[in-house]
Amino acid sequence: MNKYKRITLDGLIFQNPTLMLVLGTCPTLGLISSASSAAGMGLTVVVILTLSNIIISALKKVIPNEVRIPCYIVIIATLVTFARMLLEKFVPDLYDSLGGFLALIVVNCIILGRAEAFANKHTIIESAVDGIANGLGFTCALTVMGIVCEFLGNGSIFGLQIMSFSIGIFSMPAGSFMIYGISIALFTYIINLFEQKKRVKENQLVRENLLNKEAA
Amino acid sequence: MTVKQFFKSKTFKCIVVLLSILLVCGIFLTVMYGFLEVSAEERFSRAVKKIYGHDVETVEIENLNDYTTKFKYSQVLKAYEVVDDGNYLINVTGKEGFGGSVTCWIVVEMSEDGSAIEGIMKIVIEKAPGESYISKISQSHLDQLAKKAEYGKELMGGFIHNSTTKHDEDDYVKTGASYSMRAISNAVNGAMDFVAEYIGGNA
Repeated sequence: MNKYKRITLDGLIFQNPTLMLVLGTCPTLGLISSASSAAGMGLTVVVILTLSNIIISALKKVIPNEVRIPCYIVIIATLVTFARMLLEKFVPDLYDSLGGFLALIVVNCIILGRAEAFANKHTIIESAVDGIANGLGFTCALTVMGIVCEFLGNGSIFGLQIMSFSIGIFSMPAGSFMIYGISIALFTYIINLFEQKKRVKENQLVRENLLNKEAA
Repeated sequence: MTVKQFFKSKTFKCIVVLLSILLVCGIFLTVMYGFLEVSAEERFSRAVKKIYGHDVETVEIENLNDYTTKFKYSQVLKAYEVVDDGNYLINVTGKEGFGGSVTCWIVVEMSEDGSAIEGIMKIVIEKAPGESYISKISQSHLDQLAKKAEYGKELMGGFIHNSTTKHDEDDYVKTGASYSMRAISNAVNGAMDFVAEYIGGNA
């Protein structure tokens, strides 16, 4: 399989940071009660994760191993501060809705995790692809859960009122926690099912090859 | 370890790299702040547009300290008289939130002759740095809170003290941000108190 395709699929599906690796739980639980906040947070993480992966990958030979974590934190904190400035200047509504969770991106496990596990071992382009894929994986997971939570908790989707009936708990972190748990279970079940089918198909191919060889 | 050995050591390299990254990041952020800083005028203009939907003519009230208010859980930062409708636009910080305080823009609605406080026309949150659940408080929650506000009846955490109805409690609990609601209520109380003091206790 193409190297970039594998990185992309890993970030989006097979190693999805939110649903498979259960990283970035704090903003997930705090923000998925509103679909627009969840999507905004996700897109902000895409930008910061991609840039931090690129910079860390570019500096991997310069940064000594002993101080790599403080260096990563400084780089990520700078990018987060820059993103905050941009959002406050140009998208003040989103900036207000993200509240304290925006500053908390500095210590987001996904960003630090990808820097440590991927960016400091791979090339700049691979790191950039990994950043985009993981960021989009995070964004998709958050947005889908946000839509479900907002629909159940407020009867609306992206602020658009659809029904007057709502279940209050889903607009609170306790409800978000339930939706998060159910999403993880469903996602893992689907991935397992897919991998099982793939394995059966591969075994079938191997068996057919062996039978062909024996027949020959 | 001699000085020469220190300069050749890994420790020195680590210090230099870390300080260099810090310096570059610091310079970058300083330059960017110069371009992206949101000025006080811009904040004011945004708040006015959020409240009225368009620019309005205002007259700033000076010497705020001359109007000492009784309410100790708030601080009036800026106050304006809106020329267009005779109401007062107050920038006030409500204390006792979850992680600190909440700063709001509050329009205090006045009677036609401007001698008495009618109520609160609008509440808009300006900033709430320590309040992690502030986004749970939607504009409709704030609009309901504004409707409940009445001069002489102190708001407590989003509902009028000693006169709660089930509906009020539901609103208060539903946001999940009870401490932030308390800070906003304090801001509302402070704003009304300030205007009452400003117009000479005739509210």
